[in-house]
Amino acid sequence: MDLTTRKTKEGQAIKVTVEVMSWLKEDFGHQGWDKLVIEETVSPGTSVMDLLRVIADKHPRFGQKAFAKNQDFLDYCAVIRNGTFLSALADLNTELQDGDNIKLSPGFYGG
Amino acid sequence: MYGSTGKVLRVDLSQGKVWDEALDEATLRKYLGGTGLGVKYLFEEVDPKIEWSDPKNIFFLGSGPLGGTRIPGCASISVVTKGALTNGLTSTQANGNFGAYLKWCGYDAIVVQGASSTWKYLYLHEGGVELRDASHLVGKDTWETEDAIKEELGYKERTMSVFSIGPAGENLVRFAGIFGDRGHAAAHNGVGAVLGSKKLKAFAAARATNKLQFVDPEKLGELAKKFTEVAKTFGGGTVFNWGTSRVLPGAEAAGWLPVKNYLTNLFPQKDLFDGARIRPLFQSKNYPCYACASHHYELMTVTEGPYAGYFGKEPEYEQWAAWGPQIYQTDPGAAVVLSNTVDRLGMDTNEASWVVGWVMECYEKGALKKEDLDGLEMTWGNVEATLELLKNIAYRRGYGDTLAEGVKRAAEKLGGEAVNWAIFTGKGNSPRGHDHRGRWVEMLDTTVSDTGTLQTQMLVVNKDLWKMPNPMDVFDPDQVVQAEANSTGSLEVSDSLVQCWFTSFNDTETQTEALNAATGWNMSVEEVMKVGKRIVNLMRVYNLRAGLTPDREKPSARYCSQSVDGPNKDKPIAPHWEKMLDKYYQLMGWDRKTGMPLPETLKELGLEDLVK
Repeated sequence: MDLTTRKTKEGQAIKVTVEVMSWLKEDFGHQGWDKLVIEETVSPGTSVMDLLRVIADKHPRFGQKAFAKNQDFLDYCAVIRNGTFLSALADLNTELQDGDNIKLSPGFYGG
Repeated sequence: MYGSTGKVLRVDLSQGKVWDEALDEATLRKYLGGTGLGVKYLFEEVDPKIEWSDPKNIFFLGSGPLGGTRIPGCASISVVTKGALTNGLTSTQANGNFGAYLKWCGYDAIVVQGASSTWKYLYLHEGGVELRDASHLVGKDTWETEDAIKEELGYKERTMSVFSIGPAGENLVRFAGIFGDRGHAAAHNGVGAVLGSKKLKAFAAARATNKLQFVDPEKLGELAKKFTEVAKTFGGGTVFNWGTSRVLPGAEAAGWLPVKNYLTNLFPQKDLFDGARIRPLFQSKNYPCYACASHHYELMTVTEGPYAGYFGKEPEYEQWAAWGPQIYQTDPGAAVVLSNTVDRLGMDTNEASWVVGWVMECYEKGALKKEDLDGLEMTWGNVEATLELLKNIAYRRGYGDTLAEGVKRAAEKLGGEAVNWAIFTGKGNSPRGHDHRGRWVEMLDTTVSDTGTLQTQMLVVNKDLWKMPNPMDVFDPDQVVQAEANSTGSLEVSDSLVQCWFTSFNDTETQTEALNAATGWNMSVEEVMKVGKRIVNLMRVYNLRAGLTPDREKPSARYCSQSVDGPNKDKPIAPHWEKMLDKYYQLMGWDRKTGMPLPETLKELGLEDLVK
């Protein structure tokens, strides 16, 4: 899926930041504990889930785990948009806005 | 009998007697072992109306049918007793080696009754069982006790497993636990206080020759590998690779990290506590349980800050959370010290941290002053004051004597607005180390539970088998109730097989295969699931008779308050609570008013005798 740089008639491409938390960073080839923030530029109308699939395409290890067969995506990966937890799959259909911040955190409970 | 020693060790401390009691296959098929067997003993032998400290209370410590096999996580133990916080039934587990060593010494379980007039410890070895004098161990912490017993009996580190109480258990602190194998804990609901009331300081089991027989050892070997392979991938393999050491930053991001006694959900210093930083920095080394290949359990040395040089166990996530954000302090080295201090004193970290966080909030708001606290300035994050306060609690000194009763009783005694700042359930048990305002299913579970801690665990491998909502919205009241009710029993299966959740992930199907390979019983998955539900219902009936009635199934005001910030600030559970309970009771097959399982529920589970 290529939504990253395309502009549409409706408007300019929008920029969002994606912050990856904790051990999910390993899926992105990042071994340390320091911050991992990815910047993405997408078309207007792109949903949170669209963005996640774009990221999954770019980072196959994340994609294979998060979108594995029989895997509830939200079990693997919690999604927080602008400081609000998106707890239902339907929430991931929300359209992104310019400047949105998305946090990806392990959905796995423990401890 | 395959998979079992066929024996339980009975100990009467009042009479100073030990004897063997035969275990029959029919009983084990009905209850499996561990928690199930312990609940059966408690139900049959302990009047629910007695106090937890009555010598007639029993202390059950058991392995299960997989104990002593190479299945990972099966050297764990389950403790069942009438606990001190709720004065009701308790089921709490510890990992380590004791479960395997116990079975190799010839017993599936130990049942202790009565109370000794002098301090004793129990020593199991290849040649028999001894009740030994423990007067010289009184006052020693749990690590010192482990060292002292091994030294006097001539055992090296891993050739013996010791579980003991610390000063807190000796002094009947209501949230004392038992600790062994370097910090593993069966900590919930004051089981250490029960042992203290019996003047039993420790259990010590030598690593004897394994003479256990299993029906299909080759199959057990295959299944051991399968469990390990699942652990390498479940949840991204994080537990296998990192234990719980990387949970904290994600917990903060998702809004279920307890911060400052639930006054906020924001903890900007979260990444300092990330295991990817801490493990290399603090020279962490793996210290695995018997037959476990994961990197869950480690020992470490603090290398920076004022506590550099301190050696202890790596805190679990809940301990990091307790001694970092919950008391609002930001030095991971100090969290290691506080966490190990609590373990060594022999207290449950969860309840201890709710107590300390509440004291700090009371201090900040003026409800408790320096002079009330024996001169301690309990400001947020004050590590040295916290260390002193913890000792005061363990030894019941000064205001520590009040706090040793647990946060519910201490808050109710202080009264006023301070009651609304304390985190507890109506039954008196402690929530785990999370902010459950961001984990509704665990708030429901903790509040209705009859184990004194969690009763179920929604993270199961076989979601369809347990009819879990999939995908699930964790803030949808109906789905939360379904998840809780439908998966009820899954944890009791694990705790009756006595397999560590971090290796089993409640994979009931593979567990059933392992059970059959060990015992030859050829039980179906459905039969095994029914055992889990049977145990839950038996616990429920016992606790109702003990007075833990449905009106007490309420979270405290702070526990179910609305978060003021963080990602879940617009998700209060309180408006949904009563309807959630209505639905839960319906799904469980329980009477909404009395809490009792309905006759058809009991009959379905083979508990016809309880129908009146």
